[in-house]
Amino acid sequence: MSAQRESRRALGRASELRGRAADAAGNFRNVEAVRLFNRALRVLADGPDDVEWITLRARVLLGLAMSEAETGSAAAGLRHLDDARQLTDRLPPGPPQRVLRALVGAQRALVLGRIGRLSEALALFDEILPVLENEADDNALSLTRNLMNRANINVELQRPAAALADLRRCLELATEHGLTRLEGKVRHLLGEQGQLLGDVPGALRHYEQAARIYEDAAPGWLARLRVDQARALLVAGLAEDAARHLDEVLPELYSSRNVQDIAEAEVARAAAAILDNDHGRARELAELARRRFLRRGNERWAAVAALTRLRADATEVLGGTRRPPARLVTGLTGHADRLAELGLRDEAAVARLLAVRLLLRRGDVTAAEELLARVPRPRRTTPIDHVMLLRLCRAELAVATGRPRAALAQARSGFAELSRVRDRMGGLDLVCGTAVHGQELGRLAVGLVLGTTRGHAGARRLFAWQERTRAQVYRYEPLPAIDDPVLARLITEMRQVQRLAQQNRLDGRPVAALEQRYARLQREAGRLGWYTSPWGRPRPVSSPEEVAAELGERVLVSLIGQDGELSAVVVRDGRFRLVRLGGLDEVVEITKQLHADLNALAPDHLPSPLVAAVTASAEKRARLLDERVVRPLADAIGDRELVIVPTGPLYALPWPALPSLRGRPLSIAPSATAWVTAMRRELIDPVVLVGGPDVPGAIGEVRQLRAVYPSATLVDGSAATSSAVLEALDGSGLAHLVAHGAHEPANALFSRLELVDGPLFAHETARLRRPPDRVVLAACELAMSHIRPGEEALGFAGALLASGSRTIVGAIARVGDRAAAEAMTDLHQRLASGISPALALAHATAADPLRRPFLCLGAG
Amino acid sequence: MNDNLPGGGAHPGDEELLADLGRVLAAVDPPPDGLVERVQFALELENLDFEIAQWERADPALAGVRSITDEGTITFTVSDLTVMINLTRVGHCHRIDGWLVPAAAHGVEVRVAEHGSSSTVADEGGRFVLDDVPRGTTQIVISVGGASSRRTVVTPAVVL
Repeated sequence: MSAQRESRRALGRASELRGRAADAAGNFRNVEAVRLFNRALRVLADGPDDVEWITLRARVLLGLAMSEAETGSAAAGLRHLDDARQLTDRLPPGPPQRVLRALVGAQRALVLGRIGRLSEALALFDEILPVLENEADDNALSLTRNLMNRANINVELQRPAAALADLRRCLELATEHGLTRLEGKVRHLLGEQGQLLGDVPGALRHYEQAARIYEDAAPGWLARLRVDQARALLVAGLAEDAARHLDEVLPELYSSRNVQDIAEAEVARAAAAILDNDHGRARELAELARRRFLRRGNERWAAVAALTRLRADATEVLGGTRRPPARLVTGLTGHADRLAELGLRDEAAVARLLAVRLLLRRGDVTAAEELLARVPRPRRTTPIDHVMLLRLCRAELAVATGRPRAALAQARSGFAELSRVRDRMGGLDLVCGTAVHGQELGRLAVGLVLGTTRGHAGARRLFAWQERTRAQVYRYEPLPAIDDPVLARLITEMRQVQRLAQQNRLDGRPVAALEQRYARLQREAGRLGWYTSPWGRPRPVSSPEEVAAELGERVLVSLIGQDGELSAVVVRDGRFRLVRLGGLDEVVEITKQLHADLNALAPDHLPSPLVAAVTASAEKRARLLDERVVRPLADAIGDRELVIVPTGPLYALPWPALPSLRGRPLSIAPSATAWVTAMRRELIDPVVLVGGPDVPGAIGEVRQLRAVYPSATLVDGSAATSSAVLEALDGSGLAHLVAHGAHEPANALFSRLELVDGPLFAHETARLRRPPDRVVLAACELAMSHIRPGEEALGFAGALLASGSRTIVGAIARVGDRAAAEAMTDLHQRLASGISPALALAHATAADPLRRPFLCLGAG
Repeated sequence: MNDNLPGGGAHPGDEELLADLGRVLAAVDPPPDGLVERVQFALELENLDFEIAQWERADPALAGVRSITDEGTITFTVSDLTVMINLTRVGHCHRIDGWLVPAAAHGVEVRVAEHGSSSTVADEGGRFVLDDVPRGTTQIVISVGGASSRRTVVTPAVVL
């Protein structure tokens, strides 16, 4: 009797331990789970050998197998499953035995899947799932969970349709039976499935839904989710954002000791480092990951990590001038064969394509051609970066075999494919980010045309290529945004945190904690802003003739920085002309120095010896830039009004400060297409004047402007909250905003204008129903842009332009309060008399160009 | 201390009291972060015959700039020399643009704790640029009139 009671107690104790262990494992604390499972096993060491005892012991072994396979060796995990299977032999034949055996098999399939033995895992699931279907438990837990596990294998095997079928069934079961945690995981996997099809916005939406569920039901899974989100961001070309996500989540993963996830995160981080040209870091991380995968016995992933390392080597060599070493080529081709053996088709293709590029660089055209012939055509699930790499290889081979037209045809097709991906993206960031995949192909095409450009026809063709490869984000007709309450809440919180930080800063109190919180919120808000809806309807690139016709009397200068040389295509009276301007690096360096001079010169109360020194420096640098950039163009541009399309770091150039452009009307546009679009907007009337807090000159300035525009709506003082300002801006014809501004270089859409309740973000202006036609930003820096690959320039002014504003007047550097107030009064008096913004601004800045660093962006 | 009390040392409550006091001080008025490192860093300077420039903290209300992020520019002065620098973050490093007044081709060295130093010479307008300066505890050393001069001005070590 007492022995029976004792064994009852042992069963109860073991069952409780198993429950705690399963909970820990389910929440990603596998080290703790292993300890608890082992304790349960010890409690069950001796028993009555009845159905209940055998079943519990087998179930403990199932859990232990998985937790050990996750944190240690898969072999040890599989041994536990062998033991569990043997235990089931002691049960009498019947449903309990069948179910238990099915569960052992399912767990084996799961462990096999996690170490990359995917086809074995899939076969096992196919065999077992019908058993679970027929003899399912009341809440369908085992069935749902294992359907989901099979879906995961289907995702990894790149069978999106099969994965989707499993996932839909899972989602039905999970919602029907209230299996919340599983629902989270299913949505997480739907994200993976979307990513497989290249549907990044869809993937991000599913991931966010999963995140909401995990936050309450399984916080331990959030880290894993962040890794997958980071991978989606990489596909979208947002390397910096992906890197920030991963850096945030890696410490948490390290402490969880979940080797698979740690190593996968390291591979993703290495990929981000490659996009950021940090090849040393990429190699280091990829190698760490490779070793972790090998120790786990996961050969497929180890091979992916090894490819990442080789990719870092190849990218580095291709970015330099050194002849690629032969062993890197053989390393890649050998590894390609290995990847193909493992069934990693796309990865094998990437390895071969990189080898093709290296062979071409070595001058071994025949070998390159042979190898390229072995690369299969892309499939539906082939990621866009692979597709673009294939186009690049074909184009480079065409160049090497003297067929430039064929090379350009490849580039044209590549850009068409990239556009199709871009059209599906939501939010400016995602639309912008995709350009990274076309960067090299664009450089090749522009370089090819540039090298052979002669006369009008050549320059015209070069111009067309520039338009096709740059600033595509400005080509969309924005679609109305879908209101997202979560995003709205986050933005409000960001505003409050920034406001508090600002108060603390002024009072000399610490702000580090607030800044950290702000950065976290910014990441979260950014993630949301990316997918809410497709950004817009694509518009075609303007043809050279359209641009020429729209220009009329104006002259357009489109700059090209290619292979260290600066050139410009000048469009005037329907004629196209290429002017070569000389070394790029020097012009970029002088521009940076001049920009720093203007920033230093901005404060109203700078001591006069400093003013004199910095002014002298700025004048000298403005003269140097004038000589190098404007003089060689003098003949071509005459004294006409200018439209300038800058390139890369020259977006920061304060053109009106260059002596020969002083007083000349000019406007800056991210592309000729963007300028044409801006020109064609209809103007409307209402004027809005906004005065932000703590700007000494604001009151006087706004009052002066009141005199210029007597019927203007005034939003200032305590009324100037972000929501009031947004509302006033919507549908206005001319908006003048006086406030403190800040450009956010790392995340341009969070550049901001300080209002009474905290900042108004560029992000928010991009969602206006009808953005104001003309905006004057009488604040610091808000004409600055963060330049992404593909000359995708984004900033506060850029966000307004991309969402449909016609003209933005903003400062390209910091600006003094008094200087700004004077310039603005000047500007508006002229504007109100009906002069165009470009001309009005030219007169206003000419009075003191170094202290009035304003530019006219968009259509002047 | 009273040696006659049982237990030797202080009054039984004293040590506890001192420990509490220590905790209160650590919480309320701790030594600034990195103070020890900064002192050690400053003492590493080989030539101890130098003048220390003052950090001119700008009053944000007087800056008169339409920006709230006013942290990019720092000015140091000593009797007859002003050093102004502007920082731009580039990846994990800084680009330092600088101006020396009165202007001359002075030698400029930037020391960063645990990262060695980099140096340049200002142009005749007193303008200098140092690229890729690691972030950290930083000190700028000006050799007035060029590297061969005997007069050296250093700025306080600041965390940039």
